[in-house]
Amino acid sequence: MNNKNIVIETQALGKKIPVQSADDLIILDNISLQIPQGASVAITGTSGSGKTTLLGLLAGLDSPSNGKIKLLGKEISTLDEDQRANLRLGKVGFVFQSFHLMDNLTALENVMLPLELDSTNHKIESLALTALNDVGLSQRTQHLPTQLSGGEQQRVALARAFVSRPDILFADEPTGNLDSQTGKEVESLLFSLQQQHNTTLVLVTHDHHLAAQCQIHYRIVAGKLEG
Amino acid sequence: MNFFLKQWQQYWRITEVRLLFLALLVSVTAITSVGFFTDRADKAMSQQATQLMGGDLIVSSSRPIDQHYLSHAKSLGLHTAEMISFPSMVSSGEKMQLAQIKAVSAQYPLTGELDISDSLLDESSRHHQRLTHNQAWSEARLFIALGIQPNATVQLGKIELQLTKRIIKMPDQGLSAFQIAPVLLMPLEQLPETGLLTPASRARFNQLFAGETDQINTFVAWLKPQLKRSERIRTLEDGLPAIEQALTRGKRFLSLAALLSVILAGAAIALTSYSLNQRETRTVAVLKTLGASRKLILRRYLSQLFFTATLAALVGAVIGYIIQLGIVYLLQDIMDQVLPSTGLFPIVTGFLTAYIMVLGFSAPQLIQLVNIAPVHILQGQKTTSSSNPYRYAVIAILGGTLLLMWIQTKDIKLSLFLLIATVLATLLFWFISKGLLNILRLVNQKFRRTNSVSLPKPNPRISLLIVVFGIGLFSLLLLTALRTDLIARWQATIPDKAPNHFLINIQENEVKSLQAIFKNKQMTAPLYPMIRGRLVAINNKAVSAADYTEGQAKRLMTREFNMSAITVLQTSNKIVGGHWFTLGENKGLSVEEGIAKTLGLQLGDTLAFDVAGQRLSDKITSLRSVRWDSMQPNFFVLATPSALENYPRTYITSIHVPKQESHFIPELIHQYPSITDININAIMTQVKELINKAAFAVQAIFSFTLIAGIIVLFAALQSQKAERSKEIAILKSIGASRAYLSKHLIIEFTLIGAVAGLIAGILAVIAANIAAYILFDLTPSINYLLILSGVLTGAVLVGVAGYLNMRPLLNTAPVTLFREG
Repeated sequence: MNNKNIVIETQALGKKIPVQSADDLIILDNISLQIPQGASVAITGTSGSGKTTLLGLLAGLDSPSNGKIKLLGKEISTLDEDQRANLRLGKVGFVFQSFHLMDNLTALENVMLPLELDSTNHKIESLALTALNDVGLSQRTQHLPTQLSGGEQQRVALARAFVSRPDILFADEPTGNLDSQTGKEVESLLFSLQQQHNTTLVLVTHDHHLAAQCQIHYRIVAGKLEG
Repeated sequence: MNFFLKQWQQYWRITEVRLLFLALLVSVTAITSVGFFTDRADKAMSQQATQLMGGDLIVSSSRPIDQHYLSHAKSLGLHTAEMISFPSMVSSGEKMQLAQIKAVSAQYPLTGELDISDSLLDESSRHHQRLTHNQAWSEARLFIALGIQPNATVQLGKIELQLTKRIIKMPDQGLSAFQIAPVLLMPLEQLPETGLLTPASRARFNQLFAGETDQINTFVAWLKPQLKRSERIRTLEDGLPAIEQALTRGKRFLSLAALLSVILAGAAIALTSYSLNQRETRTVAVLKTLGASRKLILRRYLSQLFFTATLAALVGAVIGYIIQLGIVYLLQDIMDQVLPSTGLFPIVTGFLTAYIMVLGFSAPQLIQLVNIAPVHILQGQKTTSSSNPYRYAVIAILGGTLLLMWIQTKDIKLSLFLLIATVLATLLFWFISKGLLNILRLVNQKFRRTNSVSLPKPNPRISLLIVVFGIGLFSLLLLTALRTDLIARWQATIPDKAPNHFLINIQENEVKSLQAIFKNKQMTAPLYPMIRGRLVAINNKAVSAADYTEGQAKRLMTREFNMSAITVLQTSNKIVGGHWFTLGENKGLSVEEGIAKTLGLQLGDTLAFDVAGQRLSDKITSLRSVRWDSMQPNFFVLATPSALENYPRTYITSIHVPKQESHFIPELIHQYPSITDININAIMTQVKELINKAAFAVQAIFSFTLIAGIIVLFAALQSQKAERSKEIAILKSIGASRAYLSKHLIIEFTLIGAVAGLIAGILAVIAANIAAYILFDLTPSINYLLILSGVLTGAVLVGVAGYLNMRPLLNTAPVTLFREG
């Protein structure tokens, strides 16, 4: 694997939680992995296995207890929260199980949000409209999240995630809150956009069918990685 | 800017932000409406102060002023003028009116302007000139009361004067701005002809001086050691003590009323911000995952918060200005003058209030948002702040409240007292509501039938609703009680045939013939001698105002006491210490217990009075309680008739004149022109009107507290929505019908409102009774209607507001509620 194309890399990554009057609780232990540019990666595991914690660490949302993480070529385990946020700005997208759309914002305004945070972007509205069009919601741009179905909300979330053409997209159980039919539609949209934009996709899921669609599959068992 | 406004528009869609705006709006409106009004009243006061006294310095006394002051002043090059003022009846034909007579020398006024007009209405014909012989000028009110036009002739004492001009503006008018009797200006040299001025008259002698500041200062330095006990110097600084005190009290009261709204609105802001904090936790976490830094998030929230505050302050100041116009309109009769226009300072206070409120009540909670760890947004992770925001929030809220109180009162001690009182009132409401809910719940459980709805358990969120809404309701109920119930109760204590006229200034030589007239008319009108004396020594030790620190005691020491001599104690008096004069006793003094307490007097103390230059000295042999509202002449000090025999005196009486005998008093005054009639009916009507109008204005300010209370109610409901939504989802998922949940919610909120109203009503009745006892010495009574209206208002308002707020949750599928929760 060409090191130049590696966008995420961890070395002996670990996460512990201090527990009062007991030994620290080990959530993740000695995780080392490399994810190349454009790959799709699934992380699976049972509940409480540590897969969501790993996703949080890889995305720089949390700090590791030990080990190193390189995100887009930059060592992030020593960065503070704002420095890590700055690294994500415009380069990292997210899709969540509960969609997490802002319910006071319309579909269009939700999609514009990541672009508004990046002051260098000037064609915010047209880019957001294109992104909504890409997910088939060009007719629902002025609707508030409460006026959209679950599937539509997740499609708005996908448009929000892809609008800034991120290098990496992290997805946390992206179909977990949807029925199987809608889940499949969202899944197919997700992979199609990922391939279209050559985005690296890292997703956490219980869904084996979804995991099987990915090029790389990591399994976490009791905090340890099984490749 | 466009982008910012667009962002704010998005922010505005959040219910909590709109509630926050409303709470700020109510606060700024309350503060600025009171601020604009008091600013205008202040300006009127200071404008009048500059041309107030008609001279740079006045020496004032209840006795004629030593003439050698005048000669010394003249030797220093000062200009001088003289004015004697006293109340007296003025009549024209059948009509009579009490007026404040000001007999002035030709040089009056030395400073300030005296504008007069030939017409009652036309302001354009104003001019300045001097009073001439047989002429008098008066304020428009006297013309109107007597139903006459300029140049009509009026009777004053024994003489007739031609009332030629209407006074538009005059020095000393500030003193009469709130005065009931209109001023009549007459030439000083004609005063003796009226026969109204006797040694016992309630006249005020004023010597006015004007000149360069140095000359005045030299004169004051010379004058001070010479002053007699009855004489005092009035300068611009102490020109208006009575009115200023009344106005300061009024201003303070209005400011405190506005402050109450602000504090309630502050509670609404704190609750809304808590709810906003909970809601925005997810937004902040998402923003962070998208790459937003803490600085950016902080800037985003604070800029939107301060923009909201600025907008609320702007709109609030405009509404406040309009409301202030309403207050001025309501009070225009009382103030009897056009107030100057307002300044910008109230707007500054309004903005300051809005910013302090967001800084104290909202910002600390929202600032905590930046500490949300972004990882919490991932499923299975709890989205909570990493630090405890409440400790800082409580400190900020208490600090903010104290600062707001200080801005309104400019008194740190009072502010601290208010802060403690607010905390105690909150705790009182909290515990009473808890106890009441527990009792109701127990009763409900005991008599519960199947299928009935269970009552809510007392929990912090319910107590919170009761506290914040109850305090708002309490303040309104209390004011309603004071405005309507108290005056009615006081009037009810006055018997039907209670005296309705006081006749004062009755001369000694008129007593016998008057007694005959009253006897002939079968009117009960005991005539009491009235002697005025200044307390100069206690137990042979000279005393003055300087010996006392308390304000009331100081004031008592600078005025003359009304004394009388009687043998039979009036029914409105009761001996509370010592013994009443026995038959034939010619020694001893009986002192009113209140005055004795204020001045630290005890049975057996020897008091010495200066009565028109003569000394009267005796021991206190009894203390009396006096019902001052008995409509009978009452006195601070009583002595035996023989003890007061040789002192100058006038007589006073009170009589009941039936409506059909309305001509009796005018005829009597015509016959005895020196007598002054004080018509209690007219005064009572006027006082009632004044109280009603003033209370209505205050109530208008207090209505902000109810609006603030309703906003708090919505804020509290909003802050509980997430929790409620979960409860409703669980109940729905286990089969609770929409009808069942509706019934449950209606009963719960109605009950909460009723409990808040009940506590507010009971506490308002208690507070009103305390006020009734202190102000009017009335026996306690329970106004059930007030309590009932509290219960009903609370039940309806909270019931409707609560149900409307929660109704959308009833229409939502449980799965959606779970997802949103």
